[in-house]
Amino acid sequence: MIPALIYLAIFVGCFAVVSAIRTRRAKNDFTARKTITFGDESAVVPDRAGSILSVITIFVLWGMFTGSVLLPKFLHMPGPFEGVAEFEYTAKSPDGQTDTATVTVLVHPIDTKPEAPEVAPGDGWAKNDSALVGIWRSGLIRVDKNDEFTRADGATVIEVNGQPIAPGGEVQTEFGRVGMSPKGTLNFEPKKGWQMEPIWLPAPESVFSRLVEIAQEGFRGATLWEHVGLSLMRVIVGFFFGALVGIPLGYAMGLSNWFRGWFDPIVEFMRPVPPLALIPLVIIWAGIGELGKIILLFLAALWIMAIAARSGVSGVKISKVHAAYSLGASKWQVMRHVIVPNSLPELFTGARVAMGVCWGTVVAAELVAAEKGVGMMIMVASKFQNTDIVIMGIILIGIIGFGIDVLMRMAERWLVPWKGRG
Amino acid sequence: MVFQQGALFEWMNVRDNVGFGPRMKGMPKYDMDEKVDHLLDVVGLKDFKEKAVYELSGGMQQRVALARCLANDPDVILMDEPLGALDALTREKMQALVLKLWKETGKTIILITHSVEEALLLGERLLVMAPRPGRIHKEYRLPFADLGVGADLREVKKHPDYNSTREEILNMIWNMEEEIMGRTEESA
Repeated sequence: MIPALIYLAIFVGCFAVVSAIRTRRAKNDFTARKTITFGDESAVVPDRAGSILSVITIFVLWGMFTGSVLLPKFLHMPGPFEGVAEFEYTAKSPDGQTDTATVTVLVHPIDTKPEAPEVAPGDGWAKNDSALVGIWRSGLIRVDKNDEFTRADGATVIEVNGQPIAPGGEVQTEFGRVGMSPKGTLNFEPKKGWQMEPIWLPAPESVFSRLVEIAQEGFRGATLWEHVGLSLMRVIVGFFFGALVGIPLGYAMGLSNWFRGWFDPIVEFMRPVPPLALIPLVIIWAGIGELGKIILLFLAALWIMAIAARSGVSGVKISKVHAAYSLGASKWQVMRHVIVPNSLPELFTGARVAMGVCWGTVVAAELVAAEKGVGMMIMVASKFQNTDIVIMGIILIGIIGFGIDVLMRMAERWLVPWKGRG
Repeated sequence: MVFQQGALFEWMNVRDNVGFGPRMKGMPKYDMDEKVDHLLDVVGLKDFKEKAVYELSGGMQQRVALARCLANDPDVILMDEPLGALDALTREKMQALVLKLWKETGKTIILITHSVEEALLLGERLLVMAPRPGRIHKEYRLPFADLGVGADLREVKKHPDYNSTREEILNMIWNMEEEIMGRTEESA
């Protein structure tokens, strides 16, 4: 809730600042005199200043709630309490005497093992205590253990910091919450602040340093590049065979009644089946090795490519085919010089979709079962609560997926420049 | 055959479009290049040889289509509303080009058009078609095409017979139209 509100505030604030700067610098030119600016969809272009600020905001929020060293201290959300906390308890002896003693708790980072602070016993029959509690943790403190009357003698704790407490109740102190268990033991839980604990959300820099570490040392017996490369290799091989079979199949379906009739039910049935639903069957049939993954990706790409090729053939303008025939082309030449080039833009669109689906499918398949691969990497890491590796893997998967799409779009622009201009 | 529009192969440049017919018939590359150069010269697109067809304007695209058709050296050329999608000025220029090509190549051209003026200007023999059932309604022999070769087409339009023939044909077509409308109303 708080992050969402901060995000909203940053969003509105950035917009206000950017538009204020823009208004001051605005030129009084032709576009400034445009009367219709709202509702003109073609005039809506992404505001790149917004895009940059948006990405920065995500990292700033991430840093704020993880106490990142990349951010200046004053931007951090209040962190968990660390240091020496104190509270007083008042105990009542079996014969009705009350006495008050102080508990000193050293709240320490969980990866250190300090000594408990030394305290003087103090006056009275209730003695002062000391204890250790880790940051973000809580600890039971047997305050009566060193007293002259212990719980076994019938003594009970009745107040904390002067406020009455009973089994099951709690008292808030300036250092955190003091609760009492049903049996009467005090439980101290230091203030957690608003920051996330690294096991739930690590700071950006620790994700980055984990990336460097895994890139250098590898993860689970394989380097990072082997994991990424293997996943990519599966996608490329699976897509390659899918296209190799799917494209001729699509052409045949676009050109022959019999082929269309025969394969229509199969293609139309298989197309809406998500490739993820095939994972169990593929594992049963082909195991969790390379073959199973490649069969799965082959099936994921096959139907998409077949449908793209089919619609590419159906999309050819009949006047182009007539023109080719009237210029003396044979059937084969019409195929080679008219139908195939005419279907290329559709094929590229299909290939882009297929590559995206394959990338998603390979990660999912590796999540289920694999020995290597980015999906396996984040799955195994999550079992050990290595959240930094999980986040690193997710970012890596996103970047690679985006990269595949950009590459496909570049190839499209280069290979089929006539797309959409027929 | 020359089509209305959109029958060029946009994955080939202008030269490959024009040379498509000869290439399909296996003409040697050298002869083909010569032929393509000549035809592009005829239609006035010499400088656009390497351009992609989608970079050309509508009129230029139809000139490429004309050249592509001529490259096969056919005996008869069928033009199916070739100028229908062009703007008025380009259309007049293209009409002059069609006349010029007709005279220079001496080929029989069958041109289908909805424009009575275009039919009068370009046709030696004019056939007025009637719909439902499709049939030849009337035939004319016209002098305007010969007059128009190499001349200003607007001058041809001032010919005394031109306007009267146009009015006659237009009247005929409108009467046919009314007759059909009447018939459909009766049947309805």
